Amino acid sequence: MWQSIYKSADALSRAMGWLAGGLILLIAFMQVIEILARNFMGISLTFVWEYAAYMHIAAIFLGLSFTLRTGGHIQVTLLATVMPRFFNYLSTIVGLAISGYLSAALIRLCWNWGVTGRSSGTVDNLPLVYPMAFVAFGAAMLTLQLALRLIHLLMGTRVELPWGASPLAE
Amino acid sequence: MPLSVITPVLLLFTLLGAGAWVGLGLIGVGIGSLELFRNLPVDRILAQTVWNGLSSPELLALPLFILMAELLFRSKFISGLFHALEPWVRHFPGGLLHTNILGCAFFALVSGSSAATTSTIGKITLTELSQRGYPKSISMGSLAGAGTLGFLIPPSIIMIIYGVLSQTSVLKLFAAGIIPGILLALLFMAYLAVYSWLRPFQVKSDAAPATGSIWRERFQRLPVLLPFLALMLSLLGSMYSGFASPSEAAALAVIVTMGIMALERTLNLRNVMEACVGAARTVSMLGLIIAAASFLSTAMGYLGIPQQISNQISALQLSPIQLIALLLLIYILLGCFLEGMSLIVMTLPIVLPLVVAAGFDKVWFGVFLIIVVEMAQITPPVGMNIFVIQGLTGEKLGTVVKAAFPFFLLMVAFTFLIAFFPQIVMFLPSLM
Repeated sequence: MWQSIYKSADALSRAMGWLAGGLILLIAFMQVIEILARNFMGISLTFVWEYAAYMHIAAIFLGLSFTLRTGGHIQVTLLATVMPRFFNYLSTIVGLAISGYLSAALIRLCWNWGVTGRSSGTVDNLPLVYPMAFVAFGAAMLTLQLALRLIHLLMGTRVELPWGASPLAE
Repeated sequence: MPLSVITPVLLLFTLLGAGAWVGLGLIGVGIGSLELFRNLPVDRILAQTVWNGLSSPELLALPLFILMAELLFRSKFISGLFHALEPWVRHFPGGLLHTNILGCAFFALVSGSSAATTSTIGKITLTELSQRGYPKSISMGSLAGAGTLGFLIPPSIIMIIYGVLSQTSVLKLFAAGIIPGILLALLFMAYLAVYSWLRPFQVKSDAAPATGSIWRERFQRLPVLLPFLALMLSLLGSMYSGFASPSEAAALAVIVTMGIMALERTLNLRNVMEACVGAARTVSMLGLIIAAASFLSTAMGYLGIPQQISNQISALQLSPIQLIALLLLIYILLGCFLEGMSLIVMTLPIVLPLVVAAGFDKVWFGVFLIIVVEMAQITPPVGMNIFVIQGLTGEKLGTVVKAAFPFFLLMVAFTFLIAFFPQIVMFLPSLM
């Protein structure tokens, strides 16, 4: 039961990490198309900047839980060398409380924007609830992974998964 | 000092000391301080600040430079770099130790991260230098020092973040980093030359060709650098010619890097996917810290903390140079415990108004701050470059710290140099 819960959460976090990576690559392609269109065809694709900015913020939040699960977020680990077990519990509980507050705040803002129909006010006038939904979902997944991390600590299962494929990882 | 100033500082040390992830910890400080001292809708301020802080188009260069570095790491360029630089430095006093400095300086031109620069160059140079009998201590020390150039020589991830948070032109910041970056690299190289002159060491023969063929060898190996030159030109050329903005230039560099990888047959789905996910991890980590910094800055504004600290320091009636010396001391102390990025985002809301009021330019201060953050990379107990080198060599933390210490002192001296001669930093931006 416990295994299937955390494995599902891990699979979802990983999928969100892949999606975040895909969005970053897509931003690069969109920007290059904009440069070429502007400099060689005299056409400015005005929506590129706006959509790229939304894709960036979505990528940040979609990748949060995967980054946590693979030990990518920075911590001050002075206490960890003295009392590693206590440090793990304390940091997870503190992190869970703050992440929970952040998630609730973002979900509430997303809900408000959905209800009020707030939009970007640009030519496309995109309803902001769409990009905000990714942000709120990403934050909620971070909170879920922190809650699961606490259970990992109690159950003695692995708190962090290995990730060695990135030179910028640490 | 009022309670509304002391409490956030205490909260900061408590939360970060308790091991809260830096991004979450900073958000916690903001939430706690506002909930305690102001009757405001904190959750609404938090959500809105996070959205505003991260949906800025100026930040777009960040994920793209990170993706470019991730892709580049998977190309053959790095191994070719040592091969190309070797004949150019072999006959200098200090010999191949200079490949650490030049390798890092070159890699910094296409990478924005200090830890990535140290790790990538160190993987090649430390093995080569050790095999040729160079003393381990100076090999590690020079790598630790030179690795920090990743922050100073453009494009620099930390400069983009400073630019966005301080509302300073990223393009001007990039230009401002060029001369200090070159001078710092030369200073490191001069130190290596003096070191090897004062403490001569025996190395195995580098199988150097006869003097007449040295130049032939040097130029024969240069084509290895051609893809790198193409990348650098596309990046810096497009930015400074006005063809593209910094983030568009970064996007262009991603595509050029993929083109280079295609030519050298390292472009495959696995490499691209791994690079993308690697970039996503770093972007998420940095994004959370930037969001937190924006919120903390707003919270401090509501509490009036920058103004109060500014008044306290103004009362000391320090000269601009004394102020910079005081800040340097504070940053060195904080840098022992905090990682560079956290150091900038935490202190900027308080320090920036102070230095601007003292008459310093925001671009100049950005470069000063980045050199100070570079120092934080090699000061114990928390120094990213030290950790990277420790991971690469398996040496004790103390040994790596001792090896890096002379380079730390060189950087301290360099900050005073740019304080007394701000033209070093401001010359190129003033031409723009």
